[in-house]
Amino acid sequence: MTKLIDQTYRRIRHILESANPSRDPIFPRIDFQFFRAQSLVRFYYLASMFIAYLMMPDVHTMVGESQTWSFLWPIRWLPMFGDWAIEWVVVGAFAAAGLSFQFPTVRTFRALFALFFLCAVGIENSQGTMDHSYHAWLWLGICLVFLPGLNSKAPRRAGKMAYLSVIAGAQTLTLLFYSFAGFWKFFWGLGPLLQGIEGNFAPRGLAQQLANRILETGTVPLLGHFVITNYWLSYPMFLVLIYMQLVALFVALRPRLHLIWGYGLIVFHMGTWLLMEIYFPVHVLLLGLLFVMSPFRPERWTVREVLCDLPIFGFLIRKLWRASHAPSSFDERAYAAR
Amino acid sequence: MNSFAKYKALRLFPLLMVGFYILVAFYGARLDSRPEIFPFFNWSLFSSSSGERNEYALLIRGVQGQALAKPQLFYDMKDTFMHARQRDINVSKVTQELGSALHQNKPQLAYEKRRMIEERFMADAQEVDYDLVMLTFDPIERLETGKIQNERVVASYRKAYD
Repeated sequence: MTKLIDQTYRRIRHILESANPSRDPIFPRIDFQFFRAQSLVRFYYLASMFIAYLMMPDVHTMVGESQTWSFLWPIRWLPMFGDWAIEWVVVGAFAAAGLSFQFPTVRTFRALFALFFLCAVGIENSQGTMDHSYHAWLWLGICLVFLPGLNSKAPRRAGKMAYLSVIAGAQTLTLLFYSFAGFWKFFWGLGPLLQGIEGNFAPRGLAQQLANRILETGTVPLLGHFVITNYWLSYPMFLVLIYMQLVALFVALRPRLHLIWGYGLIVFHMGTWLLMEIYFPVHVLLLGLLFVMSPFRPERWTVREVLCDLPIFGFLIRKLWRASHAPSSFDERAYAAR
Repeated sequence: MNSFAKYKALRLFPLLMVGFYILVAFYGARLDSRPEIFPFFNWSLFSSSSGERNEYALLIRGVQGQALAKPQLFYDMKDTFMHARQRDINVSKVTQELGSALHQNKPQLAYEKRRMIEERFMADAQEVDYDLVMLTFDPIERLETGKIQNERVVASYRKAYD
């Protein structure tokens, strides 16, 4: 059984990871990745304190105004204690984030934060509709509960690798969310494309989407009308976005791409504001933290390696590169290098 | 558990987390009447665009017992409803969910969504006569000219007095 798990694990890794191994030396690499990962965890809980603090007035207003709660499962018990309990859940999330920030190695505090934050996000979404602004942040908190306890101040290498595995899991899960979003755009775009009708892959695909959103909400996004009128500008951007989202999962084990995908998806969230007035501030923080500041980002890299790591296109680039650098019938340098 | 054993177990963490999430996000919702099980979500947001869009909308026929001269869409009644003034996207979300619940024959869920619409989004008026309508339109054309190709009444309701 263990052998089967090992084989499956290796095969999946082989499919997902880069064809070019990292050029950073392996042992020092684990040390600095571990150091960065610890900083990431502390920053996550500091930012969580900030987020919980921002949620407080929001929930206070909701409690004051609403008589139409539709409580989600984690907080169905809350009404038993009255309205005051609803607000104290968010205070609890704030306190647990603070404790986890100060004592990031104590699993109980991290678990408490995940629990309180689950309830706090549940409260925000107990008004009959679901808003997904905090879901990814919550899942990162759930992942961090699994961080292993490291016994000493100088943990063993295997312990550090276990710690890094959890961070890699959190990154993979976050990228999965984007891959889901890309998959649906691709999936719903494919049918109309095959039928020859207007859909996601049509030049006006994004423009139709923006027009519908403007009609729905009556908002006036900064660049909405401009992009609807000049849809040839938005068309390639939308195709690049679908690609970036669809293949995001493959980026998890290709650390040379973390920075690019981090910034790329942050730009996407900036775009959702400029074009649709959809606001995902927590995702900007999350992407910056997990990918722009990825513990796995390499110290040594080349543009060629980055290009070769690109999912789908990297394969073609590698082929082209090899073809253009293939030795001629008699290549002196290649012969000398044998 | 020593460090190596921890690593052996936790190296599978990404795989297990992703597998578990996919399982619940895709199949979990089938066990429940709701479209998603919190905090799992299939992240289908703004997934499809089309030149022929079908959207549910609330068409108000009368307020406080007075029939309107011409029925108006909820969002156009800024003077009557605060949530219309705020262009609250949740009204549209709940309206789509109400239509979807009726379409899938989920009466309990439809009742919850209707209650939400009447008690929260229509809180400014005691009595409201309204229809849930299905609008068919080309978004760009409707934005530029206001043209709606088709309007079909799915259900008619009266707030609080049924």
